[in-house]
Parts: sequence; C-alpha cells; structure tokens
Amino acid sequence: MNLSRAAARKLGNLAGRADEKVSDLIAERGGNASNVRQAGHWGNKKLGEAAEAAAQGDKSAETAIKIVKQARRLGEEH
Amino acid sequence: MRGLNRQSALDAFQELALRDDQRLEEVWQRVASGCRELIALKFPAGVLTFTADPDADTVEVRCQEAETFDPSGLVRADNPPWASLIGRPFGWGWIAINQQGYQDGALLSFGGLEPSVLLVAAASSLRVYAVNELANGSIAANDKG
Repeated sequence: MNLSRAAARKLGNLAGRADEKVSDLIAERGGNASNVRQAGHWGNKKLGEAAEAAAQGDKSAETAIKIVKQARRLGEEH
Repeated sequence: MRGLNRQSALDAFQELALRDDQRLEEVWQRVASGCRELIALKFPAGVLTFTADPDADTVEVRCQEAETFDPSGLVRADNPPWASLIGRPFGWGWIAINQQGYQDGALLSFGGLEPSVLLVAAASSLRVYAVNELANGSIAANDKG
C-alpha cells in the first residue's frame, strides 16, 4: 500500500513492510502472544493501516507500531 | 553497545549536573510529519538533547556545549509542562529501559530530585508527560495497615 509521508515516518525502517499484518510481524520478529494481545485490534490489520491511523494521532496505533519495532526482546547485558 | 548507550545517557545528565546553577532557559523541538523527533533543553552552559530513533523507538540522550547549539530547524516549545519549568535548575536525570530491553524513556527533575517530566518514544515520536506526586492525603487514606 502507498503510505503517506507521515505514516512512513511513523514506521522508520519498517515502512517497506506496510502490507504485512501486525500480528504476523510481531511473531516473525520474536514477539510472544502477550505482545500480540497488547497490540489490540491492530493485530489483525496491516502495519500500514496502523501507521496511517498513528499519523492521525491514534495512540493505540502508535502503541501497536512500537510493539512491532520492539518485538524482539534484547538479551541481558551480562 | 546498548550498555554504552545507557551509560552515555547517564553521562550526559551528569555532565550538566556537575555545573553550578544550570537553570532551564529555553526548550526547542523538531516536529516533522507529526513526529516530535527531538527535544532540546537549553541551559546556560549546556544543552540536553533527546532524540527518538525511528527504527527502534528508543531515546538517545546527549549533552553539548551551549555555544555550539544551533536551533535552526527547531521551534520553541513554550507549552506545558515546559513553560512552568523555565528558570528552574536541572536536578537529576534517569533513563528508562522497558521489559523488552529497549531504552525508550527518560525522567527529569528540576529544582530538586522529584521527577517532573517523563519522555517516552513511540512510533518515531517523543511523548511528553508531566509527572505529579499524589497528595499525602491519598497515601494516608489508602494506608490502613
């Protein structure tokens, strides 16, 4: 899907994956079922749709995008 | 690498805190396509800069000399909570690391050690929260033990 400039900015380097489903991206990036639940109804929508909503100020869409970006849990420091 | 990022953020706070009487003079921000990408807090001797990383929704913190600060491309932020903090000295800074392991927030105090502002990165943008302590009465009312 064609993203608006504002929506693309919301996604950072995930802008190229706008057509993929949020829940699929969370799983692919190492997220768990809890992460998918936290994404709420955005889990069943395309990342690009969440980005367009986030660009309009939708906080839940912003949260879903953040969950995708941070789905991979970083390891311990030590 | 992440440890270094964390330490560099704390070092930025310390660099400013070590200088005497650093009162907040101005707050600047860069907003592009609805994203607040950067916030710069200008003090007499230094500028604390907070930047949202659009790829990971993390927060980077830096401190630079005030004389090297160039606000071109930025706009003044005179709205709450910043307006009430102008003229107050920098206190302490904290960084926040979420359960996923990402440094995605910073907490700031002015005029003491009680935190008053929280910055959190989400969807390539910095969200700004005012932090307020609950009145003592609330503690007393809930503390029956």
